[in-house]
Amino acid sequence: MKKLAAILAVAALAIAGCGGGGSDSSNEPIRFWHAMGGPLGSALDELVGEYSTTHAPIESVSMGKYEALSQKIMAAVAAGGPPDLAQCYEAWAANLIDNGSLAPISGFLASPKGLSEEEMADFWPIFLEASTHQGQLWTFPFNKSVRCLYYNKDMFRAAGLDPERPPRTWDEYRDYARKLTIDADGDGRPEQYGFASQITASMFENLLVQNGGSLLNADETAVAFDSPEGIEALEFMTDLLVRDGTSRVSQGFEYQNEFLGGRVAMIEGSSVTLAFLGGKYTFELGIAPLPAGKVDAQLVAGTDVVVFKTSPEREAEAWAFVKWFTEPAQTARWAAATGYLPVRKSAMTHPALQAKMSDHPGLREAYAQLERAVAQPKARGWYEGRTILERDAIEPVLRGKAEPADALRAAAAKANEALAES
Amino acid sequence: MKSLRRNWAVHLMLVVGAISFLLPFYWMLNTSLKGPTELALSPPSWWPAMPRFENYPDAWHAVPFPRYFLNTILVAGSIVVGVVVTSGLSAFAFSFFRFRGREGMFNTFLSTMMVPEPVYIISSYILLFNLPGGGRDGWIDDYSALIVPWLAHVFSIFLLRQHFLSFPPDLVDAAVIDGCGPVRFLFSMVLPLSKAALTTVCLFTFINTWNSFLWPLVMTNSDSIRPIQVGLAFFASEQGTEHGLMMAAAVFSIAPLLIAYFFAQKQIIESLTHTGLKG
Repeated sequence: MKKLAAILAVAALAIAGCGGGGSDSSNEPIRFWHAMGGPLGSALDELVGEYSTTHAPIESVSMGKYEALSQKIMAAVAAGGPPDLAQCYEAWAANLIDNGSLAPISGFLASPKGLSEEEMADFWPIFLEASTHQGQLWTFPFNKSVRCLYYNKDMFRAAGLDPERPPRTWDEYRDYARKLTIDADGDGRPEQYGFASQITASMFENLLVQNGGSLLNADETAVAFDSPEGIEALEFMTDLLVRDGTSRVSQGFEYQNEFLGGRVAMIEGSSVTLAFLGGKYTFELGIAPLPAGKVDAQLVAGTDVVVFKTSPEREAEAWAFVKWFTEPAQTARWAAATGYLPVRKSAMTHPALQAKMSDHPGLREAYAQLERAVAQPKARGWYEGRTILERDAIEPVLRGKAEPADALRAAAAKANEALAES
Repeated sequence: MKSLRRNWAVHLMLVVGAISFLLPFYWMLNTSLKGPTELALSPPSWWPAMPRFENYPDAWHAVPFPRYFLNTILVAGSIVVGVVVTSGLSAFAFSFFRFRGREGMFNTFLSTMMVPEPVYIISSYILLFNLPGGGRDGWIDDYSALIVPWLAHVFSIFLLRQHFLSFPPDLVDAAVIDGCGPVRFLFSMVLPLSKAALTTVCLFTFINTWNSFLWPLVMTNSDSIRPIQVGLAFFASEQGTEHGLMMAAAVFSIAPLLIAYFFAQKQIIESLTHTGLKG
């Protein structure tokens, strides 16, 4: 064992010697950790690169996935060496606020380099509401999205439907799916499906909100998705996806490929999905807001950005980047390149975004969903609660292994435990 | 007659086995040559109708692959050398020396194999962050964080110890009677008789390091020291995967492993039959 220890020590010394030497932390570039990969990462790096050359250097570190980003943030905060900036989900923010890792955005807003009241009024209120925890702005809207409906206009025409009039209500949703399903040889296995989806809680969450329900109760101490509204929403989802026989259900992103390949007429996706569909289809693509239920509402998805407590100078520099990135010109270009939502209303008139909306006229209406959007829950246990909802209710029901009411109640009991423990 | 029929059955099984192993490789090549519209075909096509060779240069330039390659080779190479030295010596001690607590220590080593990576990754980060030397974050974002924690590998110790224990006691006794000290015994007898087992250790270590993903992703920030698997993950993100580019990148990232395998094929097969392990 002594030998082993000695060898390890020698190796460690040799390698540590090769590594870069220590340096003064105050001159280091601002560190920004995020999860943007693929086309989204390239779009972000372009803007970050621009800021680095015109303002101050930013070091952009991509973790590719939110899971890995979450682990890295937890580790770095525990070790006492957080980054300066990071993407952050609503439900992660609560922990970071409680252990005192964050510098509140409200503090920067009030400073001379903050934002005026007029400028603040230019942000979509729903984003600011989502970023407010315990009466203060702790996070700031960064890459936000809404779900929308993508459809194949050529298939609409072939089925005798008006391609400029996508389904607007739940009843029309099922009706359109039925009309767009083609089973020419009558073997019960359609050659063309009306609708396709992946197994995801996102679709249910929106149906729930549209049906007048909510994910958590008002003070966010317990789940509320097993309400009669929730059961009705999941019943509808099961009709559309399973019982009607008009839909394909996939585990991962295969449903997108089936849509691109012309085997499926309609899919739901995030507004960001457009970035991944780009250049891969040969039909006329339609984009529309989700068909409305009793209530015409939408959940906002995507993450915020947070500034970590470091030194006043570094925090101010980090905020300066956030401020620049959310200015109308930048947020418009970011939105046009990725499909994320512009965080400020005045950005809608920016040429980059106007060009994008004239390429895809449905986007204008899809973006307008923001006017009636609701925020994601902020309870820290919700990140886990949502996983339970998807795994214990949505998946078994869509696989025909459980009935909506039973599955939702069982998932609610477990999710409540997760909320209570957190 | 009977033997021929039996041979037929054996060959049939071998052919089926070979196809099931080769199919994923074929599918990787097939997908790596497809353009976006062809990728979207459902059911997928077995042959790229319009091969898109640009996927290779596109993938190669999307992320700094040459740098990632160099990093992986540097890290994997250092770890292989380190693991052979440390597990060779410790397996030697566990097999031929008698000391107090030997079995207990060995069992403790083995039990660490059961702890999955996500459980210890955060505490490892904190440890590496607080070590002196390296950059401003301790050893984080430094080659040392990728290499040093992996220089000892319990499975390799276990593998070599099992092999050393298979030496006949007479051999050991004969060496001792002839006045052979432990160092000479190690270098003149044990190591030359363990070429196959050592090759297995090298290979397993190399493949493990080549494939490791979460550890280097969390422990590094800079592209300049990140390894190849992090580069591959670039093509998969929250909203979808660029299958064509990813498979093209996969082809050139496993090429070195395949080449290594062709050269070491004989030793690998020999050592696997020795150790009773199946790859």
